[in-house]
Amino acid sequence: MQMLEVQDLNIEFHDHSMPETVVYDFSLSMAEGDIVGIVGESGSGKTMSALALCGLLSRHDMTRRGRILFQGKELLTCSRQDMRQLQGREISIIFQEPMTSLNPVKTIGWQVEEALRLHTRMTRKERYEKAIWALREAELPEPERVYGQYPHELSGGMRQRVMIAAAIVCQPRILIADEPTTALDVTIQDQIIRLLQKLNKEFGTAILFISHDLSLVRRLCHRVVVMQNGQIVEQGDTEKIFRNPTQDYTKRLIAAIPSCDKEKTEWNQIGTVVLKVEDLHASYEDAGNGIFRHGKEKEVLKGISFRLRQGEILGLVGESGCGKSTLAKSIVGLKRDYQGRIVGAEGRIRMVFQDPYSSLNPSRTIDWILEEPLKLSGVSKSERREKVREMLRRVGLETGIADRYPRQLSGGQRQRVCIALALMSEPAVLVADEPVSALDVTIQAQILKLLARLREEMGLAILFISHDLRVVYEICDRVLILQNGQIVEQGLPQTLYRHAAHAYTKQLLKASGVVEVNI
Amino acid sequence: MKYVGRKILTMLFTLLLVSFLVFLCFTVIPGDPAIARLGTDATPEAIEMLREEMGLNRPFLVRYADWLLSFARGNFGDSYSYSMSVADLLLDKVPITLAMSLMSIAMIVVISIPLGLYTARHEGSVIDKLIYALNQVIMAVPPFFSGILITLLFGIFLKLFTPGGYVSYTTDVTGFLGYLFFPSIAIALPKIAMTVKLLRSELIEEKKQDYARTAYSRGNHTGGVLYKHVLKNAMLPIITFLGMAFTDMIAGSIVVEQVFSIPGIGRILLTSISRRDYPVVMAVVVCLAAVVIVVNGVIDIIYQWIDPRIRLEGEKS
Amino acid sequence: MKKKLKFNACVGGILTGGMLLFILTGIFFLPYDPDAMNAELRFAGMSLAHPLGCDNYGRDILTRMLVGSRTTLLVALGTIVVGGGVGTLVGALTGYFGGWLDEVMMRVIDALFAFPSILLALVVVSLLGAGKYNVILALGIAFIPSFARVVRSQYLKLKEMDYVKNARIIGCGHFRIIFVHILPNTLSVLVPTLMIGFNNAVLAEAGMSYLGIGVQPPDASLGRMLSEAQTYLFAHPLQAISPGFAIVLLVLGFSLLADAMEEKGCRC
Repeated sequence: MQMLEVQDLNIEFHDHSMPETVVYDFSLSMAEGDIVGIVGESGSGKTMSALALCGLLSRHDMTRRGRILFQGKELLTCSRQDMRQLQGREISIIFQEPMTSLNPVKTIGWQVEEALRLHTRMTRKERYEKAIWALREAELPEPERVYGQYPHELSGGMRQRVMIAAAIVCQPRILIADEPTTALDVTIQDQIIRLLQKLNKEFGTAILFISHDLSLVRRLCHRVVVMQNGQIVEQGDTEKIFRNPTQDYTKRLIAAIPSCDKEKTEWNQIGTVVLKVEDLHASYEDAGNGIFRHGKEKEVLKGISFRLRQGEILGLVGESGCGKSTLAKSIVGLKRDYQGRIVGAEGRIRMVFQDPYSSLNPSRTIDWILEEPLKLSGVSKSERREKVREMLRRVGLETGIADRYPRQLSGGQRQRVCIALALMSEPAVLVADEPVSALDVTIQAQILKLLARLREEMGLAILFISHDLRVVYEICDRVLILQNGQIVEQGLPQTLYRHAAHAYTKQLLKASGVVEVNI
Repeated sequence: MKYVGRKILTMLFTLLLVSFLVFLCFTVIPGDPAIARLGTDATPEAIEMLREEMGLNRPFLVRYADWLLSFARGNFGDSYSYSMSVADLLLDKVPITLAMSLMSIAMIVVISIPLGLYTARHEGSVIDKLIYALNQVIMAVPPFFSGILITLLFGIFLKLFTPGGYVSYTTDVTGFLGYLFFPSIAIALPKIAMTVKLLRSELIEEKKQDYARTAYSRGNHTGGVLYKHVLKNAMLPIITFLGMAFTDMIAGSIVVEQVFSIPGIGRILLTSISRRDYPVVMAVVVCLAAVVIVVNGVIDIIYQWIDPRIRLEGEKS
Repeated sequence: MKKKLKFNACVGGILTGGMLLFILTGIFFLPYDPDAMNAELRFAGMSLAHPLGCDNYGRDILTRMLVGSRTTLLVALGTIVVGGGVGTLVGALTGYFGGWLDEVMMRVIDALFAFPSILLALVVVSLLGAGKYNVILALGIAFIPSFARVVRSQYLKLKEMDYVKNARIIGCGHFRIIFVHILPNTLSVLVPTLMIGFNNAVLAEAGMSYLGIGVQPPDASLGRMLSEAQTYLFAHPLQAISPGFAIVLLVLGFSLLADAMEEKGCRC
């Protein structure tokens, strides 16, 4: 008998008057020690299925049909009491956002021990020892110190380790990981994946790994389930599916992964230089306002120099805290207190932000938003209308969306509007700060294509900031690697990726799995 | 500790600013106190003499510093109308208003926290809806009107206390507290309604947070999630709110003292305003403001003591 | 939840609409002279001629309510305009620009906040004298800090949004950003705050009139009528019930509407 057996699970919402099915006929079986991945884009129902497995869907506004058998026990119809007995003891879950998934006003130790308090009769001392053991298993440095700390004192990666420690403290049979690495940097991501692998080997804990990132799933999982719109499209052996996908959707998903294998045509550096950054130094003052408070100055950029030519897409790769956002802010003029020189394209630099949800004013229509740059330069109303329409067509949107509000658009559409807005004032340079990180893979591929096309058509120079080495390989002509405010290495992607010289570049390439796949 | 020190500095600064504003208002606007004392018929020489005697001819800032220093030493000046020192006048009124405020605070905490928890836990139930409706109506009743209604109900019909029959704390402490019980209800009632409503919405909001889901995933039952995880987080804004409510309650006590004929601080303030007895008004206003500032400062310190995020930020900078 | 929301909006809308209609009627039509005294009609009960009876001077209560609710509305709206206008401006500028301006203004606001609003109003009235315009000024000043704080926290949050950064990049001036870009997005929070402020102003006016430092005779206001009636409450409760009820309905309607709007603002 399998450890976990899901048969024809259906989940229906009753929040609104019309019932809405979010998961159809989901079936899955897992044995001891299995690592199964569920991949799919947003809205595919992958998280819903996972929450149903660990009994976290509210029973009020939802109906579930089908069977979930855990070690022969029916979970869908069992009492709340019985379910609670399993939660945290046999079935554990870790979530995407380690920042918000921990209680901010309780100590780490208290939270890690919680499952022990609920499920065992251990003494205080035994609990402490077990918690320290779990923290150590999760590879947290100095577990005794971490035990007394609060979540906000830890970094994102450490918080996720704490979540894992709290989840494994009772040594559960199955660990459900819902996008556990999405909010983390590549190198941290890699460490968490390795940690999960280790736990799986050491304790035989089965892992259900839910992710939108196909390359991660490929590295970690034995089997994979592909979901779309609440339905399972395909499932089977990971390698088999990746090599010979049978369904169209799976093929499309796999094709949308930016690949670092294909050869790129060499970029010939002939365009005129439109942006020159020379020896840029900048520092950041943290939370220092007020009469009695003084912020600490922290140098985040330490002598950055580069040139950007017309029609070039220059990739800037680095992890959080490396100074890439500060660099972008300095270039577009949001930050003025820097030393060094930024020359060229004055007033003709525009920016596209990571989060398409916050970069459009929610109380204005698309029309109003796109017309604004023209309004500021005094273009007449009829001409503005014409130009907005033309731009919408250019970025691949229908002109009919002009009188809608941003909240009525999808993420991909919004990002297209953001690009359109940036292009309205005919810039020479576009600074794109993680423009595709918040998007689904298939949408991501479309936006990348759009940027490449606009570069061709308009001779646009793009500074493309990203943490994703694959995306950068796909779209950029040249790459800069940024670490702690310094450019540690630069070059053409095809040479840099294959013959990296700097240790940090090698580490990045390895962590994101580029090197392993290629060699 | 650094946070507390900084907080105290800020409080002192605000206090200084308040005293300056009060002094400025009461010296610049009401006109010449010498004329006020002698009447408009007085000769210019007599007025000039009194001005010299009262120190009104010295520069403004010197007078302010002088007033502030004597104020800090507990010398609030002399009342125009009662011909006694302001300090003596106020001293025996303080316990009355204080007792009433403390009783109301206690009522708020004791009644609204259980009610807030109950309504949040049984969100959407009939009792929840009833309490919501009751809250809305209570908040819509003017404070003195609820005082009148309480007098009518408990005083006249149920005869639980004698309207207007205030007992001094020097003669009978239980009688004193018994009489203050109903005025305290009148003060606390709207604040209870607001606290229940705020606590309910905070709890419901916090219940939707990711960490609450994590708590469920470890096998907590609903009560465990609510009491052990959510409550402490939801209490943070409540604590701030109670600080602000305290400010309003002092104002409420001014009105309610009038309704129940209680000879407290509010009474004295009102008579002094109508008699233009400015030293008394100034002293009361500055003292009340000082109490409010200190209470809010203490609230801030409690807050950072509960919330580790602020504690650390305070220590870092 | 959704059902209750609609219920709130409906009841709130009906109450507020009814009260506004009542006040509007008072502007165009008064059955009697509100100040005409008639000793014979002293404490007259309900009748066809005087639907709500007459007060201790024999004045028609319904007529006085028509006039009084107008004054109450004027005082409350005036308070919102003064307090809300200045508070919003101060909050917007300090929140957006920050720095020393913010620090200084917030200290002043803190200092103002240390005065309970009725106390502050008392001080202003004791300095300037009573009367409805002074009440507006007094309450307006007293309400500035609460509005300023709410608006400031909104600006602190919203100025970090990417669309604000984008507006700066495409060359918008600070004032355009403050008023054209950010202000409309604060409305979901600002409007309920203003409505609750309106309620507090109605209640505070009633309280001040009760203390004898609010609207002065011969002006009528709901609060004044209620406080006049208090002396005769036990013998003639009718005189107090009508204005008291009117205040409760007005405030209740607004607070239900404010609740409905707040919920809607949260969901968007």
